[in-house]
Amino acid sequence: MSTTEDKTRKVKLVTSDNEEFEVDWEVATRSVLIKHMLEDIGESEEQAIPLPNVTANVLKKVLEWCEHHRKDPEPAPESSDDNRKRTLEIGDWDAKFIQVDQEMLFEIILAANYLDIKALLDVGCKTVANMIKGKQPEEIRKMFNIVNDFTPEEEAQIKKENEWAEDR
Amino acid sequence: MSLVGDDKHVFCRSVDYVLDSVKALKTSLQDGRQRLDGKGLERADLKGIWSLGLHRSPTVSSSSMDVEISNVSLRRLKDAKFLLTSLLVSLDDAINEVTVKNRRTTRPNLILLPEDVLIHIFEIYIDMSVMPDYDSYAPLDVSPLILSSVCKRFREIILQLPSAWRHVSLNFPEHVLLLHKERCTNPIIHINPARSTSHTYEKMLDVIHPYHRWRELRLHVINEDHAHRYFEHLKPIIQGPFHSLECLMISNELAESLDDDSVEIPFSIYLDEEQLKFLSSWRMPKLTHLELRNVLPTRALQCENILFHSMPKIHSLSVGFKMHYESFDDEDPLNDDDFLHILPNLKSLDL
Repeated sequence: MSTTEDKTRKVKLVTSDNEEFEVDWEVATRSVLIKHMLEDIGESEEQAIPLPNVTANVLKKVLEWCEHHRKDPEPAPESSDDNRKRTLEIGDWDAKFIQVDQEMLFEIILAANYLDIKALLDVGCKTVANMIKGKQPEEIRKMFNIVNDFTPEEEAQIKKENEWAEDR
Repeated sequence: MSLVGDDKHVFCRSVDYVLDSVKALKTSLQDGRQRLDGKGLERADLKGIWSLGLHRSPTVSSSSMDVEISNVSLRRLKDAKFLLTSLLVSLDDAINEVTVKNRRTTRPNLILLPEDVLIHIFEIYIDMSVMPDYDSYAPLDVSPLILSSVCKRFREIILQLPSAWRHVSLNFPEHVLLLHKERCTNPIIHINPARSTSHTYEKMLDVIHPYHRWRELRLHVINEDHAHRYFEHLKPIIQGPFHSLECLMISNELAESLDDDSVEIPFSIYLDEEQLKFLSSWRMPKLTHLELRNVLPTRALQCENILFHSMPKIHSLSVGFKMHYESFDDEDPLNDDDFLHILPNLKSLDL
């Protein structure tokens, strides 16, 4: 639970390319990783949090998302009901936010995963799932520059498994 | 000169000449005679490796050099330059190719995401396939079979991910049902009506036993007759309890049928007495989610959690009707006063 003092507090973050960001505590703590690090260092306001796996341009984008979602309730812990309750839709603002090139999309996903921002990771993963949806293997390879590295034996097995597509 | 020119001996001589010069450079470097500056080799010093005769001694006058030898040297140098230029172009091509490959392997890409993130994406993708839509279930558009056919890494992950294979529809061909059964032991069974109401897939139920491992059963029927066919087929094979069943959904899609004036399908929001009796015999000790759409039981379902009398384990209950049922209000089995007593663990209610 955050206190009034927390909400006015500023947090310094330092990216892998040595750029420093000063953000509100409420914004920074959308990241569970940063929240835990802040808890570890205590009240020391001067101490900057190093983020060696995130570059400045990516952190800027991530912080834009955190700023917009700063008032969102904290996500509930995962349960066995997650699959049943999971919504596949992306909100309007998030959908617009995530309209970036593929490289940035994957950078955001990696950063959200590293920083432990579940809701942002969900937005990124849903976006990728939507990109894959309705596409055949060759189209997926083409879209994401994936090399078909199956052996002839594996290809034959795959063809056999997919024969049903022609049965329908 | 062409690299594959008419006179291969000329070409080979050029290659030899370049090789000899490079060897001379190597020897020079090893002996410490060649000076290296901060950016690489000194250009002035390098000049000497190409023609020792030309730079041998400043005291030797050019007039004393044999003209023939001089011409041969010049031609040799030009051939070497041509050869090196060609090699340089091919080197540039190779650099570009490796750069692209390097970018593919080092810059963020779907294939390079950590395994747990890929699994998350795949699970979201698989959930997109849950669109009960009669026999156009569309497994071809969204299927674990598609992901497992993209590349080795995807295949390895998908084959080790039972949840990717959890959605099983009876309208899958038999060998696909078997693949799902082999790869996921706790499936979610979708029973959807065929476009032709006279056709059902109930025989496929035999393929996906054992039933006690089913995690969810989502049964969509069009009318009593349709439900009857499945229940009749289930009767002889469901003896023991559904030990793993957490969610049961029974849906009578009567509204879609009613909208289509050209199709006259008998409908009812009741299960008949025989179906209810059979359904009541099911034992579902883990059932926590119950959803009834356009289905109204006329008596209690004996599901250990006895419907509408005591359901201590039920977390979510959904009962929905697309048409107004007048007597429902009068006979509302979910009396407000009894609610907490009947459903002590209820977290979600949708009526």
